[in-house]
Amino acid sequence: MPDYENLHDEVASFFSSRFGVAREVLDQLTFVERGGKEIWATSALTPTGIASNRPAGVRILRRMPHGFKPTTVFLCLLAEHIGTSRVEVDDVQLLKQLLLGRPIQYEIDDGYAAVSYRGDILGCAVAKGGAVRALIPTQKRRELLGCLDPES
Amino acid sequence: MIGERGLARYRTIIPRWREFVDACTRPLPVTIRVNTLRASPRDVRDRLTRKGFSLIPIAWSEDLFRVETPRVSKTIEHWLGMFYIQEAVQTLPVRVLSPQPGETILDMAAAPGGKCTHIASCMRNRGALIANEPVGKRQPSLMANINRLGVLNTTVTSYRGESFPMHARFDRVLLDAPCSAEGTLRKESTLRDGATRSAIARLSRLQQRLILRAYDLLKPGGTLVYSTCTFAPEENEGTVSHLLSKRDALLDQITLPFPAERGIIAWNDEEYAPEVARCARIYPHQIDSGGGFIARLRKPAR
Repeated sequence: MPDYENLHDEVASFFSSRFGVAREVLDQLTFVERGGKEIWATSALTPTGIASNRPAGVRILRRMPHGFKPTTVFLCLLAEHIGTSRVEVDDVQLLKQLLLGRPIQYEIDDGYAAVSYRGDILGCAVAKGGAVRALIPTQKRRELLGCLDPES
Repeated sequence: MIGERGLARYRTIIPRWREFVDACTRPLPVTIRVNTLRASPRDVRDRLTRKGFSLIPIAWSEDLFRVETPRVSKTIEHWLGMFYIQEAVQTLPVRVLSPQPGETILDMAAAPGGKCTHIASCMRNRGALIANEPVGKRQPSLMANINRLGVLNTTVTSYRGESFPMHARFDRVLLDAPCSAEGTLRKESTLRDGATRSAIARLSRLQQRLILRAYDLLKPGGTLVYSTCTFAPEENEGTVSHLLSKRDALLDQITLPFPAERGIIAWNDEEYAPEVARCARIYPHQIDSGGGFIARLRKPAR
């Protein structure tokens, strides 16, 4: 039987310490480790006897040698619950730079961060030595750039 | 033009034929369904209005808006999964299904995910939803929409519906069946001549197999909604009559929030089970959307 409680605590601690997410925000979710490196959040488990192509929930974290790496999709879901490690990019040209793969200068502690644009969380980034790079998946970046053009 | 050989065969069963024909030749309005897992209808309306979109509420549904401005799919709100672009008529089967949080529900033919994500939203992401899609190339869009809309309780499977495993039983099953899709003719003009008789016959045989399995997968007291987006009685009342002749299913009277037509009990040389009058037929000129058919059936509680 997987140890859901310890995993839940580990995940909640990560999001609380790095992103300031209150633990109770995650209370309704079950966390499941899949494939040794991936952690998924789900609010339901598949009924027995049914083979799935895609399990319920979303991938939220990947275990890396230096710790957890959060996914864009889960940071977007956490949205307004993210209180810290936010890279506030309200200028559309600056956001475009990030999405085009160019680092921007931003003062924030080294580590993973959430890209925020005019209050919306758009995904994951990484900060190192005062520079921030977006880690949003390529396809999602393209889609997002397509959304920005009419707005810029 | 509506071809005489095709849709004109429904002239005797579709009321106000001229209005129907006129509606079918008008462009389909763009409607969005707010994904209440991610945002409230007010939030979405306010945000899109601020960006210059013109949103008109749909009177019978608080989470539906008609959008009069193009390119609503190219917005951050869409990217963030705050809404789903969906024909108004396509939201009706889930309203009739009435999913509840905590239930176990099967969407038997789920891609691209409009109804499945609507069900998850009604369930408030609680309970278990199985989104089954047997066609492999339709699965990526289903999975992308599940991800985009923040659905956390949905497992994707790829069984042929008629042989979906009987290991689990469901509180509710939605069978939005593969059909000749005549009701989508406003966006697919090639359908204005109607479907061929051979296609309708082939689909009808498939639908009969699917509806039997969908019903068998219900728990006692469970609810099955059978829907199509076609006008063909063979695929609608004919399929429901087939189920009623083979199983002890109970057919509910459907009440929709606008005037709709009842199911027909006879057409051409066919007679259907008299209960099928409790089903609903929806035509484009009645709600300025596409067309469709909905039946709600229950398995008796033991």
